[in-house]
Amino acid sequence: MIPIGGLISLLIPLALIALVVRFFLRRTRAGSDAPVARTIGAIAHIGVVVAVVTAVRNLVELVVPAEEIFEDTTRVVAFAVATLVVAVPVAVVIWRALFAKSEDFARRLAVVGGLSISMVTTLFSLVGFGRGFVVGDGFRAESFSTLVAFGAAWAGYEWLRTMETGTFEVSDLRPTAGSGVGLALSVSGLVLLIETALTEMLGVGGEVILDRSIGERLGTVGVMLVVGLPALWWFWLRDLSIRETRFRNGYAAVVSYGSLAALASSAGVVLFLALEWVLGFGESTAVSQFDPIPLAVATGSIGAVAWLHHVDLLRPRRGLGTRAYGYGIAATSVGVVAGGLVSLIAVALEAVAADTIVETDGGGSVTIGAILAVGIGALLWWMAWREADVDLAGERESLPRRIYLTGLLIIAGLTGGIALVVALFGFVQAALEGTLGMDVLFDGRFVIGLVVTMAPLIWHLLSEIRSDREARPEPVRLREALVIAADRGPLGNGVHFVTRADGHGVITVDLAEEINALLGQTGPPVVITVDDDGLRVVEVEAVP
Amino acid sequence: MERNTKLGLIVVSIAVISLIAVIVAALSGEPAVLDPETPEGVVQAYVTAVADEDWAEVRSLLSADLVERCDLSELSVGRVDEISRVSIDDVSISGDIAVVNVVITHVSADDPLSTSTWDEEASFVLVDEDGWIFDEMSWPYFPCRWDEP
Repeated sequence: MIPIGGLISLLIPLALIALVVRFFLRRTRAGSDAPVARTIGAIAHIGVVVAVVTAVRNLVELVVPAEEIFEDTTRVVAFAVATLVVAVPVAVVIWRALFAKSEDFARRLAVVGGLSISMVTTLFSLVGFGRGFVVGDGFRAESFSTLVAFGAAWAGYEWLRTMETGTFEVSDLRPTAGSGVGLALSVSGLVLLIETALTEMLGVGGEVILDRSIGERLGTVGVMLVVGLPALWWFWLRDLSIRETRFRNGYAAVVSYGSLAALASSAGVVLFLALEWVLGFGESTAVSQFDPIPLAVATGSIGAVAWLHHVDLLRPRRGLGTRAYGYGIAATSVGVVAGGLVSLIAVALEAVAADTIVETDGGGSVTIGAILAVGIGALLWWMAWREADVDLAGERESLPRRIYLTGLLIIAGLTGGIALVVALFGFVQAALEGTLGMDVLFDGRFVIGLVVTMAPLIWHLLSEIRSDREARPEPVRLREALVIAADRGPLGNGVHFVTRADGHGVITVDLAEEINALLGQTGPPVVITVDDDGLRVVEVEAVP
Repeated sequence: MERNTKLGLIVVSIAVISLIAVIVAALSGEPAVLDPETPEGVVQAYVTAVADEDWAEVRSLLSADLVERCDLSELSVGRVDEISRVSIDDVSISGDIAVVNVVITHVSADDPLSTSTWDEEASFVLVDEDGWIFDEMSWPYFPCRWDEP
C-alpha cells in the first residue's frame, strides 16, 4: 500500500510537469507570439534527436565486428533502449506540437541545426574511418558506427530540407557549418603536409634514426583533403562565398580573425627562435632550437592564404562583419602589446634591482619575446585601427567599436586599479616598516609594469570615447504632443492608429498624417485634440 | 585584381606547393643505418627493436646485469606507446660511458583534427664493454626487477 506522503510526493512533481508542458505547448503553438519559447523548442528537438542517433550509433557498434574480446553488451543495450523509448516519442511529440503545421524560423532552425550537427559529425567520422586504414589500425568500428548513424540522420534531414518552403536566413547555417568543416580539414591536411615536407627538407628534427610517420602522415593528409576539399568547394566556393549574407560575413570575419592570428603567431615564433639563437639565449643545439620551425612556417603560410581570401570578401563594404573583425584584431593586439610592455618593464626593473637582491639570468629570452610581442602587436593594431574610419557614417556608433572601447576600458580599468592598489600597499607598508628599498621594487615589478602600461591605455580609451560622444550628432528634438481623440468616429475605412509614445488613438488616415507631420516638426509642446470638426492644435502653455 | 583571378591564383599556389610537398615527403626515404659500433647506432638498433616489438633483439643490447633483471616475458609486457619517429638530440661520451638524448615523436590518430604531434624526450646511458650496451633502462617502461638480484 502506498503511503499518502509518497503518493503526494509522486503526484506533485507529475502535476508540475504537466502544467509546465501544457503552458509550453500553449505558448509555442504555430502562429503564437512566443518566438523565444519556440526557438528553445527547436533546440530541445535537436538535442533529443542527437540523443536518439547516439543511441542508434551505440547499437550499431555492438553488431559491427570489432577487436574487443569482452564488452558489457547488456548495459549498452539497456541504456540505448531506455534512451530510445523516451527520446523517440519526445522527438515526435515536439515536432507534431510545434513544427508540423508551421513554417517559421523555429522550424527551420530545428531542421538546419540538426542537419548541421549530423553533417559535421558524419564528415569527421568519415575522416576517422579513413585514417584507421592509413595508419594501420584497420577497420574502426567506432568510426564506422558513427558514420552510419549520423550519416543516416544527415540524409533524413536533407530529405526534410527539400520539403521546406519559404526563405529564412537561418538556412545559411548548413553551408556555414559545411564550409567550416571543409576549411578545418583542408587547412589541417595542408599544414600537416607542408610541415612534413619542411621537416624532411630542412632536417631540423635532428638525425632521424627511426621514422614510421611519413606513410601515416601522407595517408592522413590524403584522407583529410579527400573529405575536406569537396566540402569546401561545395558549401563555400560555389555557395556561401558568392552570396553576401550575414552568415557569410560572420563566417568570413571569424576565419579572417583566426587566420591572421595564426599568421602573426607563426611569424612571432620564427622571429623569436631566430633572434634567440643569434643572440645566444637559445638551446644548446640548432636541432632543438629550430624544431618548431616546420610547423610554424606551415601554419603561417596556410594562415596567410586563408586570411587573404576571407578578408578580401569583407573589405568591399565596412559592415558589421568587417568591423567585428577589425576591432577584434585591434583588441587582441592591444592585449599582446600590453603583455609585452609589462614584461619589458618587469625585466628592466629586475635588472635595476637584481644586482642588490638576487642573481638573475638577465631575462634575455623574455626580453626578445616581449619586444616581438610589442612590435607585432603594434603593427596589427595600427593595421586594424587605420581602417576604423571615424568619418564613415555609423562607425562611431557601431556595436563592435563600442564593445571594443568599453570592454577594453573595463578590463584595463580593473587591471590597472587592482595593480595600483597592490603597488601602493607594498610601498606604504614598506615605508611604514622602514624597509623601503630595492627589494620592494623587485617584488613589485609586475604590478608597476601593469600600472605604467594601463595608465596610457585608459587615457587613450577615454579620449576615444569622449571624441565619439562629442562627434555624435545631436538627436533632433521632436515636438512633444498630447493627442486627445475626443471622438473616435466610426471604425470604418481609413482608420489608422497613431502609435507614438506621446499619445494614441484611432483616427482617420488624413488626420493621422497631419498629426504625424506636426510631431515631426520642432517647436513647443502641444496638445492635439480630435473631434467631429477635425483636428486642433493648442500649445501646452496656452492651455488654461 | 578580380576576385576570381585571386582565388584562382590561391588555388594554383596551394596545388603547386602541395605537389612539391608530396614529392619531397615521398622521396625522403628511410633513415640511414648508423654504425652499430657507435652509441647512436646501438640506440637506433634498440628503438627499432622496441618499435618492432623484437624483444630478443632488445635483450641482446642490454648489459649482463640488465639481462638478469629482465627476461623476455617481462620485456614483452612492457608499455610501449606507438612510435612514429625518433631523432637524436645530443650525444655525449665520457670515457666508457655515453649518454644519448633522443626525441621520440608520437602522432595522434584518434581525432581527425589533432594533427599535431607530441614529443617525448629520453636519455639512454650506455657503457663500453667491448661494444656499447645499455646499462640503465629509462625508456620505455618495462616491469623488470629493479632490485639487485
